[in-house]
Amino acid sequence: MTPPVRRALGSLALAVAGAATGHGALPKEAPRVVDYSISVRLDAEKKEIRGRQRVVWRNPSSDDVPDLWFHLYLNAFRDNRSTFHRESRGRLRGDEAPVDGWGWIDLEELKLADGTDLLPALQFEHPDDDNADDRTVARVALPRAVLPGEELAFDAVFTARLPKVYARAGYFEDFFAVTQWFPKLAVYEPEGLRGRETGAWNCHQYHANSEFYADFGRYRVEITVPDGYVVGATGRRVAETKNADGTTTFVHEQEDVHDFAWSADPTFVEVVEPFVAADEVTPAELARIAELLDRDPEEVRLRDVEIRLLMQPSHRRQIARHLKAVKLSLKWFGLWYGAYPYPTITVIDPPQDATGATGVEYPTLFFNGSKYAYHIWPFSGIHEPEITAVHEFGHQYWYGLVGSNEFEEAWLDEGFNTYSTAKVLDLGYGERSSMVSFLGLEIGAAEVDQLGTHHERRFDRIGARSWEYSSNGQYGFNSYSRPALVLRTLEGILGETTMARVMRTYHERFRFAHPRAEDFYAVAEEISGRDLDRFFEQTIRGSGIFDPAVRRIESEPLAEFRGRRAAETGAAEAAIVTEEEAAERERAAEDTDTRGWRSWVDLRQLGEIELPVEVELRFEGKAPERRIWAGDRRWEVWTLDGPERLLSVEIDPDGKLPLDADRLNNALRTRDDRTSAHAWALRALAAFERTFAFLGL
Amino acid sequence: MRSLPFVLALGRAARERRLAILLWILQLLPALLATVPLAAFFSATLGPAPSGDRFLERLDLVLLRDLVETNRALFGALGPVFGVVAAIALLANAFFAGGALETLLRPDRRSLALRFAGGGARYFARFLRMGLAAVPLAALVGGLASAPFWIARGALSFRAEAAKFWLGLAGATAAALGVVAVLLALDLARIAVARDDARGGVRALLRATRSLVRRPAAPFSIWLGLATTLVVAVALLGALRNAVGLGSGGAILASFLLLQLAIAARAFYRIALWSGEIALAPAAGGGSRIRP
Repeated sequence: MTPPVRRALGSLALAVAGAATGHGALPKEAPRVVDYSISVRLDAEKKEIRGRQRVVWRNPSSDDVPDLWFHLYLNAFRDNRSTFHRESRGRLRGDEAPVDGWGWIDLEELKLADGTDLLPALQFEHPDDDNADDRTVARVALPRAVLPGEELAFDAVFTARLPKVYARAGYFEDFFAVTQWFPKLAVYEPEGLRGRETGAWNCHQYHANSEFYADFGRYRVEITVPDGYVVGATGRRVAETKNADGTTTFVHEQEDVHDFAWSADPTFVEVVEPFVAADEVTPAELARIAELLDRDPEEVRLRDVEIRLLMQPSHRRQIARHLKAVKLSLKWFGLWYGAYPYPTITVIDPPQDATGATGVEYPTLFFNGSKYAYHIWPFSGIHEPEITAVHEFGHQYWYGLVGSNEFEEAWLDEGFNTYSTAKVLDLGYGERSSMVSFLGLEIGAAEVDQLGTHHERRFDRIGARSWEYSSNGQYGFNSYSRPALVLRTLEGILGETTMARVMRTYHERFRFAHPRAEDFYAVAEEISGRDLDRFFEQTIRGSGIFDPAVRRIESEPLAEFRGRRAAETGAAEAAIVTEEEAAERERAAEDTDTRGWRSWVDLRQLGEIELPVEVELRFEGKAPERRIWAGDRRWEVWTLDGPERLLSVEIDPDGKLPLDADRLNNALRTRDDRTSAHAWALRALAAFERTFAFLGL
Repeated sequence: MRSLPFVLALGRAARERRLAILLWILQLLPALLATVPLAAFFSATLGPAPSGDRFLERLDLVLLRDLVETNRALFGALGPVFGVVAAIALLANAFFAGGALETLLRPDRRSLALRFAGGGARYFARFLRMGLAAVPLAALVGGLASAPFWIARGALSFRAEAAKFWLGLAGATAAALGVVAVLLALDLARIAVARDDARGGVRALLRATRSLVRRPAAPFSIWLGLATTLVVAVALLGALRNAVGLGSGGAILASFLLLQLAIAARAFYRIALWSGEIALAPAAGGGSRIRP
């Protein structure tokens, strides 16, 4: 299928979808593919959970489905032979696997509602790497296929040993981060979903660099913990019962989510604060956003949400910081993409030493991260709690509500979220200091994203599957920063307004759905009215870098004519203009200040990605002028004649294309100005002098 | 009212202005030498590049990254260069101390340069040995001073984040004070060796350390007074430098001058400290002359 045909079909599909949902209408609920009713008991001494679940799965396809596929994520920590352990070598995000801190999950019973035992038919599968030791994917053949639209109910009993936390799930002493803890059904993707030609289960092994993918549905979970434990969980609490055996049972429910996580800690300090939309968003802001997005103000209105913080006692003095970050996120993610649809958001603050549990997201709940010292100057200028809170809240939108496949297209949630997070952080904490403002050192979020894009980063591409990168660093860069830069560059090309509408439309159309990259491309083209195929081909599917450069500029006085002039009408013979005559004319022109200039501008594409760029030309005694270089060739040389001398040339003067791998080569001037060079020389001198003075005296 | 010892020491340093200027020049010259290749690189790279002017407003990390990428070899060599500068500085430390103490202890008719160079050469080997011996000694004293805090910290539950933080800070402070104590002892020992032209510098160092640990008040009070004065002076100069910025040639020149004032202030501080310590230094051959 050729790109134009694909584009046309995509636009048609989107137009139909748009008509179905209404322009700007957010879907009210998710397709309820799977219902989980789980009761789980925590044994805090043994660090084990024992659970029983009833699952009802509705076949969303037109296929007869003969089997069920499950994720058993906790088996990634079972031993050092799992795919997760082999790929990570026992390290993730700077944390090391603790010695003897293994975890696992065992299915003890698996039966259909009619009592048919499915366990004998259970097999471990390894669709990604043929690692027979990996037990994170299980398949069970059914006695008969599930027909299209039919519901299948089954029960499972399981025991899980939680690992010592270093990779999102587990415990640290008596703090528990209970995540990816139950046997979770994979996603059956019908034909047509995410470009599938035939329907099939999409179930990948748990890789070091992968996260998760599941269907939307309803969860009701009864969590029994020893008395005294404070529990935070997905959804709203609907019941709390003290039991006679020294335990307490909390019941949580939530519809329209695709995961359920919880945390328990006897020392949590609970803070409940409402986000009151009417107080947080002014009518002027609402009107401005509505105009920006071309929506009715009622469509962009936000809902009230209950914020529940579960803080470590030693981080009590940072409560205000956490609340501010969450409210900022509820406001701006909501205004830009659509109101947060759930009644609650729960924020878990792990102990400082449980770093493996920090910075992780689940529907309506996320784990933040902080340290005691962050309320003391100068450490208060380190914005880790804010960065983590905004980023992890952002995942409520990218991954939580827009349920992309984090295994196969990690950039659709991480990259989108990194893009959105930087915008929110800049709004709330200043563009130059949103990450850090520490003893005079200021770093902004957008700046950090740009630090990764340089000439070393050619070896991987954004559109790769999460476990198919050459290194963890490449995964991080190509899933987080680089896609964020692509989106910001796209914004620079389309303009802020169009980009805002693209993002809003994409979120509206794919809230409670499972999109793929092509769905985003189609929305971008539809809303912008532009052919962006080449842009996405180069930036997402390709591994090249973008680096336009000014290679050379020169400007010299225009030379008078020399040599044999063509014969004029009626003249006997052609005239020769001698060097002396020409020089005389040049002197005369200089005396009257009428001598012109000839200038050359040599532009190059040093990277593989070729995009149109704006070029600013500055002439002496004249206002700067801007031109577009189409950027569709490796080089271009402009020859310019005019009365003014060319002083400087700059590519992308407004910095709209942050994907640029080298901004230093974007500009040249004809006359050197060494002020900046002298400033740097002074900095170097100061460093050497201070070193010598400190050690020498 | 008697003047505080550190104030008297400052007065003595003020009288040794020429020595302070000499020390300042001796910090500046090697630093200038090390800066030359970098300055040439900056001129060649940033001179024609208007993008680099953004540095005049703030430290743009992305541009800094681009600058480094332009000549990775040069920036890669910075680490070893700093290492060499540090090594030279440590060697120079022995020479400067010898030269300064000869000047302070024997104010005879010889020229400053002659006294300084003569003293530096005469005591270089002894002072270098003492300096090298001070390194493990400082680690030991600093470690012993901070050990109780780290032990207490290690015994706490992971939940006691506040206590762990403050104990860690106290431990780091104790370690730093331990190192300062050994450095002060090194000064006292060097003074004793220079004054008595004695051998056995390492023995003098150990003796001085013992004396200082037993009676820390006098040397620490001089050091604290002078260090506080220096910190205030350098902070003020630093604030002025920040205010002036680096946005123009004039501002850069002003900033350079302020930097030199700060280095000169450090030289003054050092002379003042030596001057104050001279009265406290025990004899190199034994016996304490530290008066409370």
